[in-house]
This record gives sequence, structure tokens and C-alpha cells, in this order.
Amino acid sequence: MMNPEQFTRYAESYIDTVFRVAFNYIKSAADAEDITQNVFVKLLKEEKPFESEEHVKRWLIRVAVNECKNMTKARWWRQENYDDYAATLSFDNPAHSDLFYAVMALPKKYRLPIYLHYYEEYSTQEIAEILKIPKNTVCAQLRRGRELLRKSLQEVDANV
Amino acid sequence: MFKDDYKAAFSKVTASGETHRRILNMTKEHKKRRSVGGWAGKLLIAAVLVSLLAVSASAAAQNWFVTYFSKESEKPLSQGQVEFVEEHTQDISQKQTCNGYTIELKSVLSDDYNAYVVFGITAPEGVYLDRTVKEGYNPAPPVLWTNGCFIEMQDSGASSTWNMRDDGDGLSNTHNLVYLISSNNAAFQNGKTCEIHFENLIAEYENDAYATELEKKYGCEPKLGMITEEEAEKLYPRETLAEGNWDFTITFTKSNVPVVELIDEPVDYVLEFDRPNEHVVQKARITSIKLSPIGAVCTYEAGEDAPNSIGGDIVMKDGTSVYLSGNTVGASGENRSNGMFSIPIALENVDYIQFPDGTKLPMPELPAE
Repeated sequence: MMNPEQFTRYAESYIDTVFRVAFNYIKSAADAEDITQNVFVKLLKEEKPFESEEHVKRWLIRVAVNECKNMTKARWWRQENYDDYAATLSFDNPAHSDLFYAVMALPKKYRLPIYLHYYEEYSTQEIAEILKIPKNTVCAQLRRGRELLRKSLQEVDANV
Repeated sequence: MFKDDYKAAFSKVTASGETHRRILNMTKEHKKRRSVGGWAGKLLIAAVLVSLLAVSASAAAQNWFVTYFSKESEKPLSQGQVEFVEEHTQDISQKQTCNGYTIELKSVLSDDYNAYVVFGITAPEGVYLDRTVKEGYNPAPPVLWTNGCFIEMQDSGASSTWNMRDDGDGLSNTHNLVYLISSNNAAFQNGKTCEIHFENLIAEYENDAYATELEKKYGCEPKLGMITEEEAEKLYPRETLAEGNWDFTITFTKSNVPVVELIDEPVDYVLEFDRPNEHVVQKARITSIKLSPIGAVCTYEAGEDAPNSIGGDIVMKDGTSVYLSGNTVGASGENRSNGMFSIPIALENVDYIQFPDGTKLPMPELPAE
């Protein structure tokens, strides 16, 4: 079991990161909360030493993705509507709200690479390593995701 | 610029204070827990699939769905069923090959809410998908898994299950996967799209020799909840056949199947369900039941914590019945239960629907064609 002081330090640093990864993947705040807790239970039980804080962060993201996959393939799982949760987010700028909804409307395979690239500032190579997919796939997903976002946001602008 | 806006937007997405508190208190409250539900669920599905695989046979047919549904119902389909299947099957041929394994999206049969989707899997020659050749292992075919089969639909959640079936071509390295997918928001209407992504292909075997060992240990056939997680892993060892991603997109074009509304005014209904330590009997009101040959969508008014699905029997004129269950998926924000049939039914042969509380709803007269 991990040393409690270390665990607290990692938890304080990465609870929201894990939550955002799960939310981006699963589009449900309630499920993302459950997954976040499961991920930190696993961290607490983890016995292998970590090489660095960055190693911990990547491990947490990877475990979060795996937890999401496990949850979505369970027969009882169904996707919740995230509108109620989104309504609780007080965006400072309407453009941010539009961007949020546009990102969440993207297929899952684009949402996570976009989050890891633009929020966590990982390179395509690093994202490929974290998600265990080829780098070319990450590049294609980022490119396609950006195209879809651009198109979607242009439509929003046109409708204003 | 985009990065700044993105960060500003998603910085608002944070875990709740309660989650922060719980996690930060974990070191005090941590008790070692074993997660049985996850593997137990997988084990259950695996066991069901292994037993279903025994049904496979070799005949091919012009419309593969007709053969498949006949085998599922263990009797020939009626003329009405065959005509429905042939008229509404949407043939698609999308193939993707990754690390020697080809997955082909073959065909779809759907109404607005439910879809049967057939995938064909072709392994490299010499790989047996139709039987297990390892000594000491069950000779039944391995159960095929993926790390994930992700289904993305427009504005809707999904519930799915799948069956592995012989594709009838006599080859050992090919097999079909039939997915039964339900949506909660009419996601399969004509013109809508659904993406299905597979990640990694995994074969799961049954270790017969170890099953015998466990039987001796427990004095009976090893069952869920009886054996440990480690024993389950040894009983059903897995092998990754191929790593990779296989992505498919379906655009529905033949979902406009006949649909009949069964009621013209609300019908009262008694709903029974369990809360922790309490059996609840609650009045509910069914406001609509739309029946198609593939499934039924029931809209009802009930208490907040009522279950999001209502089961029932579709009783046919010959006295046989079809249980409305399997894929039930409730709509978010309203009580809507969507049930899918394991095989399509012929609407003209339906006599009535009977709900678990005994309520019977007769089938209205169908409009003349």
C-alpha cells in the first residue's frame, strides 16, 4: 500500500485530472466520480514504486481509461445525459460554453486525445504511449477532431 | 488561442467536493476490497456465450439473418417473419484488417430503437475460431472478446449484448458476431449514424482439466461467487489474438419498419421492485406502447426510483409467447423502456401483450396493406 503522505500529495494534484479524463471518455459526471474514486483506490493499493511524479500521472490516466472501458462494456451501463451537469458549470465566456458542448459532441475517440493534447499538453508521441495506440492514429484523431470542432463551431457562429 | 479557450472551458470540469473528501480520506478508511462484480459479470457472460455456441450449425442461407433467427427460435420462421427480414435487412460491407484479423460489418436489421448487427471475423489460416484444440481444454469454440466494443450513437446511450455464431461457410478461421443493440433515443432512424469500434481481439477458453479440479475442491460444478477471482482467471484463460482497432460506421437506411401503437389512452399498471430491505409496490401508468417486429418501446409514468424497464410477454395467436427483455434501456429524464426481441416477430400473429402484474393489452387490428 502506498505511503499515506505520498498518496495525499498525488490525490491533491490529480483528482481533477482523473475526473476530466473519465468525464471526457464517459460523458457522465456521476460515472466519472465513481471512476475517479476507483482509480485512487487502485493507486492506494499499488505496490510497485513509481519512477517519478509524471509516471504517477500517466499511470492514473491510463488506469482511468481502463476503468472507463470496463464500465462502458458492462451490460448494465448506459450513457447518462450530461446536460444537467453541464448546466452547473458556470462558464465565464459564451465561447467557452460553445466549445465545451462542441467537444462533448465529438465521438469519444477524438475527445480524449484532444483533452490530453490541449489541456494536459502531452505530445502526440506521449499520448500514443499513454493510450497505447499508434502515434499516427493519435495524429489522425487530433486532426479529424479539430476539423469536426471547427465545422461545429462555425455552425454555432452562423446560428448566432 | 484554441488551447487557452479549451483550458478555460474544461477547467470548470472538476470532481465534486464530496469525491475530493472521500479520496483524501481513503488512507484512513481504506479496507481491502475485492472487486467480484467485474469479473463475475464477465464470467457470467462468458459462460452464457459458451453455452450458446453449442447451437452453431453449418447451413448457409441467402439471407444469413433468416438462418440465424431460425436457429435462435429452434424452428423455421413464419412466412411473415421471413418476408420482414428479407425486406428490411440492410446489407453493408465494410472490412478492416489489422494484424491479420479482418472484421467485416456485414448487415443490419433495425427499427428506430433497436438493431441486430452482424460482423464477420476472419482469422489467419490455421487459427481455430470454431473449436478449441488445446489439450485439456473444452473443445467448444473460444469466446471472442474485445478490450472494448464501443458504440457511439447520435444523442443516445446504448445497451448491447452479443452472440457468436457459426457463419456457415465451413471454415475454421471464420465466425460471425451478432450484436443486439438498443438505444434510448431513436438513434437508428433512417439517416442517423452509429459508430462501432472494436479494440483488440481476445479469445477466452475453458480449461476443462481445471474445471474438474475445482469440481473436486467444491464438491459441485464451480459457480459464480463460489470460486475466487484467481480461480476464475485460471478456469477461463485469455489469449490476445490481435491488438488493434477496427472502426465502423453505419448509416441507417431501412429502419422504417411497421410500428403499431397499442393503446389510445393511458393504462394503469402495478410496478413492483426492490429497494434495500424493502419490496415496493407502486402504481404506474403506461401512456404509450409502440410495438414493431423487432421490439417494443413503452413510455410510462412512475415514481422517481422506479426501475427503468418494464418486462412483459408478447403472446402470439398460436399460444406461444416471446419475452420482451434482454436489452432494456431507459431514457434519461423520462420513463421509457425499450425491449428488444431475440428474433423478430410477425405483428399479424400477435394476440396480446401481458405485463408482469397481469395487465393484458390486446393487439389492435392492423391496417390492411
